[in-house]
Amino acid sequence: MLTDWTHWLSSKHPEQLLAFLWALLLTDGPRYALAKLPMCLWDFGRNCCDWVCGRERDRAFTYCPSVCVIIAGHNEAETVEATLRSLWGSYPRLEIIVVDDGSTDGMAAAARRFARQHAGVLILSRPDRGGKSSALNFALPYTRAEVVVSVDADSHQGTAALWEIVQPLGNPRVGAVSGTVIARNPFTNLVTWLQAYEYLSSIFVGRLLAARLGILGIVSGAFGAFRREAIDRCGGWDVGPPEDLDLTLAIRKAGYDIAFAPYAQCYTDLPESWWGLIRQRLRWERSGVVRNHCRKHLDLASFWSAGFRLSNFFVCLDNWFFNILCMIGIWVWIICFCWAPPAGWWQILVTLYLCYLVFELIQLLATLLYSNDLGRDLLIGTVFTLVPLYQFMLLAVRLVATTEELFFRKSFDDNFVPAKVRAATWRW
Amino acid sequence: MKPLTESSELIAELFAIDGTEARYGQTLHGREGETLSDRRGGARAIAGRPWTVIPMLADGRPDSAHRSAGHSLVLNAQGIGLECDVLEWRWPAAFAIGVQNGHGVMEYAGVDVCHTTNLAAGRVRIGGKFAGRAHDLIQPQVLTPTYHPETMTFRLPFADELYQAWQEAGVLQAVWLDRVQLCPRCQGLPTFRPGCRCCGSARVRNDRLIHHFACAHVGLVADFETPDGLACPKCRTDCLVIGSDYEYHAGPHHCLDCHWTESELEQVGQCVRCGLRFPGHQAHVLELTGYHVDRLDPLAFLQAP
Repeated sequence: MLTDWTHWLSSKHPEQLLAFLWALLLTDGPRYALAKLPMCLWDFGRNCCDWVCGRERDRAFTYCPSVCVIIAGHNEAETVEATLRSLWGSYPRLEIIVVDDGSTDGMAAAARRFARQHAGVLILSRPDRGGKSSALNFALPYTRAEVVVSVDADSHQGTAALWEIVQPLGNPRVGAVSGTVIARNPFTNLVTWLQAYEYLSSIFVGRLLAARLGILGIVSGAFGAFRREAIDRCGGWDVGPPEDLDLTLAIRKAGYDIAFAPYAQCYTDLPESWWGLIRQRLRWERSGVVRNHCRKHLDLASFWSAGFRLSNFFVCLDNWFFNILCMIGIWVWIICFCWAPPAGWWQILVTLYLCYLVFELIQLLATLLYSNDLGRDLLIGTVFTLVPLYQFMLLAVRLVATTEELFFRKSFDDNFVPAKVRAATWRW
Repeated sequence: MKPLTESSELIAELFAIDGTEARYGQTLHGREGETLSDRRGGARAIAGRPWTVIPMLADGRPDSAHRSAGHSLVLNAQGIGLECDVLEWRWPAAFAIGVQNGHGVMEYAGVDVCHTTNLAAGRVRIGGKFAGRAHDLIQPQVLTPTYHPETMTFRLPFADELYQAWQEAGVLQAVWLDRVQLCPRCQGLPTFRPGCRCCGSARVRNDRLIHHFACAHVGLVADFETPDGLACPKCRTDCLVIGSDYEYHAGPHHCLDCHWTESELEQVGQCVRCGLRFPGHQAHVLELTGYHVDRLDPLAFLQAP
């Protein structure tokens, strides 16, 4: 079989190979790899120069605004104390506000137990669930801090994460900063392992690239810092999901830049079953591009809208092209391929798979270049041979979710938002 | 010991029945003008139960060393006649007696000695009334600490040592009654009220918030108020209807003195003696302990007429 494949490969001209290898560019992996390559080469060269010249880049924390961390959650009694423990004392004069959004498992009581022994922790409790957006907004009247950091109740922060995440806000043009979300349970099973790899390549390095290009369009709700002034100008969080993407785009629209702090790291638990993962991604994909970039925040790309910026246009273009057009393109390619399989179809598939692996290897090297925990990241990276199959599954999820949202607006039926809010909010 | 059938003679002996009025000197606590027939007019029981007798010393403490056992000869609502072992010792003016009830619990009564008769072989017959110092010691009002406004303290009427001695004798049982919060500085009695967590001031303003469902905006009620009704300041939706469009939330408390903002007020104490203002959780907590005794009810031994 291997001999067949090598004979087949050697019999093809490069133009013939490119005729079917172009389909790879429609997928996420190779596209990211090709985009990251120049950035990595540049940074690698610069690091080498620094090493040769004995120069050390100063990463001192020079900006120290007042910070308020808001932890909004529903039924997170088991995890909220660990989250509070990871935050408390990690930043000077830190305010922490826990909003219990109608929990029935004693989340407020668990947080109060911690607050009794630790100063600066405020617990707000709402008897009825009102949704994450309003829970976050509910905390705003209680603080006058310059920077508001939203943190998920089931995550914990890495070393100096708060210091890292506020540094880009020293630039007054920056309205929000995205932190890095990393898997807390990467080696539980294959599902979490693959997700951990994906988080490293798409969040840790992928957002670094987007931020360098000035087109970062998402600040994770799990760990993101927002300038208070920017939040007030946008009126706070809007009804989600995803409330984090929505606010990020609103902040961009208000004229601010979005920055990324790769070493502001937050560890979170990932779904441990395939079905849990699929449900999570269906929710993300439904409420992502179609709802926000194509409908609600379409004016980001309007040349005639007030405050138009080219970077905002590219944010939309990036999402329209890669998340919708490329996704449709790859499915058309797959259908055509299955409808009329070309001669040597399995050789083509093997070639595509191996090429994909080469691009994944590039991505892995890029991750390791920026990694601050080489051992862990290298171990996570060993799963890269299965990533093409994993990406193919996510592509199917994206197709289903996008179709549902395009035609049925399924994101507005998501029980992530309580029924009373779903009934009252606008269906964009 | 004589059989109980002879008890009528014993009664006459114990209470010196001679068909006439008793002389005052024969009874320690008989009232002036009270006749024996008055005192003995009620129902009476002849009960041969075993009793524990604990003499009371002149200073009020129990004399556990001379604790003895006895048998009741006669009992009514006012007094008891019993015969007990006594070693060569002078019988006191008061004692406590205890008897086990049907549930195995010892019940006690205080008795003032009216009459004693020494018998042969170190035994003595005693007639006594449920009155006097020992009786007073087991009354509920002297077993519970009360507040004394002049000293601003909680106290028992007698010295603590006295209660402890009777507790060691098994008559009294210490019981936890209450928990009282006192001034952490002078142990005086404070007043409590909600106030600012930061400065303790009662001058606090509480804002109400509105949560507008459609845009998730949460803001002060005043921000929503317009001449035409409620309108969301974020999304400009007007004519909001409570329940379907918005809901109220209790908002932050703002201290008008120190401008502190808090979600819940703190209980702030202020001592009425020294004037110290302190957070409620810093109050000195006094565990109020009283005493309990299972008191003997003589009527329980008497048959209904």
